Amino acid sequence: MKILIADDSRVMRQIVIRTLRQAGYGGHDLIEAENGAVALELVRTHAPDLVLSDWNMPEMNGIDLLRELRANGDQVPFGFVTSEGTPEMVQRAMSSGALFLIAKPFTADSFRDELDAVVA
Amino acid sequence: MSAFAQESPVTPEDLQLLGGDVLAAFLLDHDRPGDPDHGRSGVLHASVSVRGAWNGWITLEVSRAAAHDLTRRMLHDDDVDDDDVRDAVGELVNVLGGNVKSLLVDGCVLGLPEVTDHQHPDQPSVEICRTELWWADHPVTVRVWSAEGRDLHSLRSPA
Repeated sequence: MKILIADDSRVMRQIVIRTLRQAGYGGHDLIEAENGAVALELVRTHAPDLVLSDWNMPEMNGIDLLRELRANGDQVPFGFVTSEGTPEMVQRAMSSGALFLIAKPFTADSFRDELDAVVA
Repeated sequence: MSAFAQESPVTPEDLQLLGGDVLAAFLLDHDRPGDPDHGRSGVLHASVSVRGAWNGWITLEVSRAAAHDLTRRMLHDDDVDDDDVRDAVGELVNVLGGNVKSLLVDGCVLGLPEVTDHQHPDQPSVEICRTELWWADHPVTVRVWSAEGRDLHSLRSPA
């Protein structure tokens, strides 16, 4: 299984990868993107099975990435990992087609809670 | 500038609580030995803006030596460079900012974090909340600044 991690912070991408391993998902192929535009291209070229995306990023933010994917007919499972976890943001994420929103700071348990239903 | 002149939607206790959550989540490598001070001096200033129904900034100040050590602990790696340190400090203020934003009114947008070497000398906003966190034995100052009632076009980040 391929998981694409989109976040403009390299440090945060490393923390997400570490947390995925702690949560028991270390055996999967992990791909990194530094913004939404790069993530969009990597979805096209690598066909990941899951996208974990930050919300606020330069070039293309996470919600625009998700909307672009859905507008193109791509139904790749998509979840946000973002510092903003208000009900307002969750509602915007879900109405655009996201499966879940994990708020930073997160734990391995919060990853398991959302990913177990998605990651085989 | 008179500190705490406006009623703050965020309290120092809120910042302590949020800061504790960040510490627990991102600085788990407590066993990593402390970083020797390689003569790093100065302070890094990180900020993230909030715009919309409430306007202001969340800022974080940390010594360069402490920022280097925090970055090592976040990455679980002793070999970190200046870009890593700025990235890590920016992400810390981004996460704090996102959580502070959740305590504000709906209808706000969080900006992208900025990290600079100097605090802006002409701060155009009012400090409404401040606390000092201790992360891995390092002091980290977190402040919330309000730009309410100010001309937003003339405002620059205080960091």
